[in-house]
Amino acid sequence: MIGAIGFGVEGVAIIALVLLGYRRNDRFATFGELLDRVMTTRAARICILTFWWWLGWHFLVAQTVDAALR
Amino acid sequence: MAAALIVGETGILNRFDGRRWHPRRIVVLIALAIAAGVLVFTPRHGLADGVVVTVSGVLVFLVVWPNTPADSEADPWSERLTRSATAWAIVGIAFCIWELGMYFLGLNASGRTEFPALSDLLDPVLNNPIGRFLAIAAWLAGGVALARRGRTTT
Repeated sequence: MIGAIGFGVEGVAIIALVLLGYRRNDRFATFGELLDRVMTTRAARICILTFWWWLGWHFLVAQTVDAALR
Repeated sequence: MAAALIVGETGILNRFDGRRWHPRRIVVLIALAIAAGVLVFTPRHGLADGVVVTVSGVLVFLVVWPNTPADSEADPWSERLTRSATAWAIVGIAFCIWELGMYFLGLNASGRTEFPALSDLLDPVLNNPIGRFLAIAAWLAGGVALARRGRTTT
């Protein structure tokens, strides 16, 4: 239960940052603007896309959760 | 990541610098439809899923690898960008610490129900056909969105 609460709080924080980017755009860049700036370097592009790829591998391909625990 | 570094060191892909690959929208849509179809309708953790995820990774890697002249002309970090980056970094690091904490607290079988990591929480969702479809759609859309980033600066 406590694990779900922690991830829930994280989700709320992420939504708050997304909204902040649109509501106070003069003082706070949106996540898209931030990604645009960060991803002008090849190293950042490769790192971020590798993480995206790993998410797909981890959740769709790899057997990461033991069958006995389901 | 190691493969990317090795390929980078060979310099093979440097010939593509300055001309980033812009696949036609119809080609992207067809590729997405094929990938989604395989991922949704074949068994999870199967060979077909592995092939589709691997090929998706290679294609996205080829799209984002080339540098363009605009990359070196990126605007300096403004105060609003720095403020945003700091806030997102704090939330991201907090997420990683929480995930790591749950992982180690739940190392034994009973702990994983009391202290579930994100994988434990999402596994039942991904075993549900609708949840799996939504997750696959989000993953594929995320890949396309990320591959399009970094082409304009703030």
